[in-house]
Amino acid sequence: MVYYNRRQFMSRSTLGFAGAAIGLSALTQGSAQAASLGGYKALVAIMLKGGMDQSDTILPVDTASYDALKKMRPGIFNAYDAASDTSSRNRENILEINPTNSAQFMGRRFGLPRELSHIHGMFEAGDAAIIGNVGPLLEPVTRAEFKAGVAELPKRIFSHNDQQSTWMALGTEGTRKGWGGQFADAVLAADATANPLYAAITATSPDVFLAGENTRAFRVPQIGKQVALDTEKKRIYLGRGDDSDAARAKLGAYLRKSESTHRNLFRRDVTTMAGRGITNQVAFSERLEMALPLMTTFPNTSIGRQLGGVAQTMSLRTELGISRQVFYTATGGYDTHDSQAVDIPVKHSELDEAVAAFQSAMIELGLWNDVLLFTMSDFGRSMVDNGDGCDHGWGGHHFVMGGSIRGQQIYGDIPEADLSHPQYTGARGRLIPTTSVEQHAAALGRWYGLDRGELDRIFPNLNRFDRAALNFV
Amino acid sequence: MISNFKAKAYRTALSSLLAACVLAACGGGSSSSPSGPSVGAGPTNQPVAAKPYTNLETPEEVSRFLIQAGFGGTEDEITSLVGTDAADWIAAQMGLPATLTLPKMQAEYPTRLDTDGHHSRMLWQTMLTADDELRQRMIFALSQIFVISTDAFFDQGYSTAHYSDILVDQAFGNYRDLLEDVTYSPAMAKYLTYFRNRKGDPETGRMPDENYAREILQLFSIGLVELEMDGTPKAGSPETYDNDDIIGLARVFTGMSGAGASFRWSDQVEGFQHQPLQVFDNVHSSLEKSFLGTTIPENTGGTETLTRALDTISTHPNVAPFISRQLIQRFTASSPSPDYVQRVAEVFEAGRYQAPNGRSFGAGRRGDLQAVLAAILLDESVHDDSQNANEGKLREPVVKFIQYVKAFNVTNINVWDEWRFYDTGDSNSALSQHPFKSPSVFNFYRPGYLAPGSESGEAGLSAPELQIIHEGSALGYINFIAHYIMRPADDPEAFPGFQPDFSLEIRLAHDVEALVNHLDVKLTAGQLSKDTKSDIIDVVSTLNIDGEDEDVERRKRAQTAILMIMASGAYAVQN
Repeated sequence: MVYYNRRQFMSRSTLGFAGAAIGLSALTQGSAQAASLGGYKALVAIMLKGGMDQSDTILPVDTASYDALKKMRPGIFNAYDAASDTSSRNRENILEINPTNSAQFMGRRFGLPRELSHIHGMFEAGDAAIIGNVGPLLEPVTRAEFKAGVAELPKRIFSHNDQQSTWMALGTEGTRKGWGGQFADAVLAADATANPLYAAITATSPDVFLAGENTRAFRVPQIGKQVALDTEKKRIYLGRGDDSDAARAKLGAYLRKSESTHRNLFRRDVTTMAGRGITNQVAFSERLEMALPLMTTFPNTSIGRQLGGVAQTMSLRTELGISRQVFYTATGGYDTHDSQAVDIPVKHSELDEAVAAFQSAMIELGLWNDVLLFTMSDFGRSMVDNGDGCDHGWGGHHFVMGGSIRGQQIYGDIPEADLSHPQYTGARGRLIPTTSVEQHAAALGRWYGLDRGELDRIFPNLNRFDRAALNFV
Repeated sequence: MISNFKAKAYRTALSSLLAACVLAACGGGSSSSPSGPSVGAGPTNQPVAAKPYTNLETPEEVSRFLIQAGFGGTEDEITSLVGTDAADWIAAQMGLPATLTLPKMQAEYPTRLDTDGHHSRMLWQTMLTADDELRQRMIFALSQIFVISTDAFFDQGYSTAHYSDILVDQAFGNYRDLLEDVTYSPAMAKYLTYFRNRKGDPETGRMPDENYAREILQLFSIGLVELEMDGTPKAGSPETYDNDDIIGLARVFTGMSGAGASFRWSDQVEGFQHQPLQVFDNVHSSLEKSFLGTTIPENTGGTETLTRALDTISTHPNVAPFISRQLIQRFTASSPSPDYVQRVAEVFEAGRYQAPNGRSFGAGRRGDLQAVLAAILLDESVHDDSQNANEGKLREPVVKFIQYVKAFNVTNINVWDEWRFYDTGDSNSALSQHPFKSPSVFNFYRPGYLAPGSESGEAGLSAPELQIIHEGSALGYINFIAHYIMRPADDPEAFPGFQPDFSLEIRLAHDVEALVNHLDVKLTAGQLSKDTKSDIIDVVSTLNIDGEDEDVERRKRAQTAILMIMASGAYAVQN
């Protein structure tokens, strides 16, 4: 797929091109400073809803590990017809990665399915890293402690909605603030010039990730979607006379009204939301229409259009008056209890192509060194299969991508396919995380500019873990 | 901040007190005690000295009740129901013939394969055109608890129609029967992946799929935390089950496949996609199954196992408050008070409800949904005259649109001709909601959702609907309704579908105040705020009626007034 026209691109952004040409994991970042706010930086979250199966994402490549995994999930490997020459799960067809820290794994080798070929390329170029076995934890936990019920555990660890919330907001469903929103809070507190409206941006639903104390998520349209108030744009709705023009203007003001005299709290809320939403959405779209369109073509998938909407928004960063932004995107379909061999490759491809387009767009905008793109998911899945799928787990493996990371490395751990390994809860092979979400998120926050005190306030259990373990940026 | 909040809470307490006084003064308590079902009243309309609080005394009360229970009122209904009792309307609705979808699906699409890409529209079509509106509301409510999504099915339109007809059958039936019919439905089995789920295999290590075991407990019956009867968590929020319960229960939902001679595809009977599943003992787990404190011994047959498991689940004490609270949320209150939940949950347990006018609902079997629904709609808290700061319900976008269709007697409804109905769930351009088409088994929104940065959230009020009604979806909703209010009437040749009848409003258009007052009663039960009303009158009066084309000018006034009301806070929240 052609994402990006190189000639056009060169004329647009020589800075970006220079960055791209040297492959650029190497731009070193200074150590994190308190409220460090120079330049532009953006965090871009990709929430993979349903619980992505880590065992079918980071695959073993050496024969022993591959055979061991295959034994744990014969149904899934059969469904992939893994013995056939053309199967993506044939060992020969797995795209091996060459992590610089491969020695840590004592001869175990890893790869990605070919549906993740762009991410594979990014990893090999040093622009992507893998965080192995990360998940919600309150303190380090062993299987013995888990079985004996003596460990302090996050609540409802196998429940979708609660674990989505726990990944994004460190508490079960109903938790009010996410760490993305709190990162934005911290920046807004330190930078009086920042426009709070655009500090936290969602290209999908307003999930808890972007909710902060003072931060509200601003919804941007997916790329290619026009947003306008039809009663204003389509004159035929109210008519064409002078009186119609006057009524149209007054109607526009009415629809933008966010103040009300209602006593009922729900009525107050909807009025505020509708008024603010229409005001800001229309203003944003008008700005967008005047902006130079991106030359990068995004795939026409939900996640593709969302990441396109993110990139498009970043292209307006100067006009919007903001130098730190947290973005949120999400895509579903990862709850592969069955038909995994059919469903996961499609989901992986969508993710891979969207991420590749996003990288192109960032290079086009000269921002690839200034963004960190990272995946999250409800949980990992059981290594042992249930026939043609697998069930809810806990720890999983995730990607972090961007031009400035120390890529081509596996951080954390990828436990082998051996149920006696102490990181599995029991016979289903659900991983007990070795790296906590808080550790992972704090590393992102450090890069974003938060200082130690700010991180400790957002992540209450951080001091129970090795703060320096994840030094991917 | 804190003192403000306290002041608010104080005002709320004060207004409930006032409400109670008003109720007592108007004689509302004379035929029933306000704290529970009446004692000793006869089974049907018995004459009472003062009319019970469920009597619909004014057009506004009629309109308000029909918005809560159905899809709002037409002029005729609003006039003719004044002086009648809400309980009688409910009983009449429960007696209406049911509108089924499967026969229509089969008539529209000669084979199952033809339903590809269309069947989610069919379910819209039923809701937009059926006369049994209370049942339709109940089906929509149940479809948001027992969730399947047509997104997951492609050409399985017969299965999804069959599934919606199960909800039709049981809408006024019984929870236990509903749970069983859902569990045996091919649509649910496909959606939650236990269709042809095999018992574990010690040789390969394969374990049964846990999906349904988990979701039937978390979403369809008991939830995650032990509840009091009033729906609040028990002290310390003890969890209702752990992972060992799931492993045990997962063994129950094995061996289920389409009806036929064997478990295999090739042996299944024609049309198995819209018939109850069959349990095949040779692929059903023969191991012991332990969950929720029950043990089903090894080698129990599959059908027997399922019966016992569903009995165990459905008799758990959480079911009554867990299901009652969610049903209340779908009809009358986004954040029901614990007292309200408790009153309804007790009716769930008793299986019978006596209305204030003496009419009796339910057969006396636990989980009777007629009794539960009547208890929800006739509860004292939804019939008092005060509109408290924290009461009311954010109306679902689908229901709002259907009210428009009903209020203006919209005809020529054929959703297959309307591209907008392919997916009304789109939040940029449509309603953010499409019946039977939520993004996941977790529905369009969660029952406990507190909207970030909102006043209701700050006050601890759950507001599920704010998960889809928010800053990012406001524009899509306005554009969607504006299209249907404006274009079909303006240009019937180009937009022949969804033809509204604005004749009454057009007649009133010269008197803008009368027009707005009329629409206020019909669409918002007379609850438009003063400010909103004066804004609407101002905008609508700005449109002149003086030109050559007076009909068009009058219509523009009517359309603009309707659009503005449907964009108002009073319309968004029924109270």
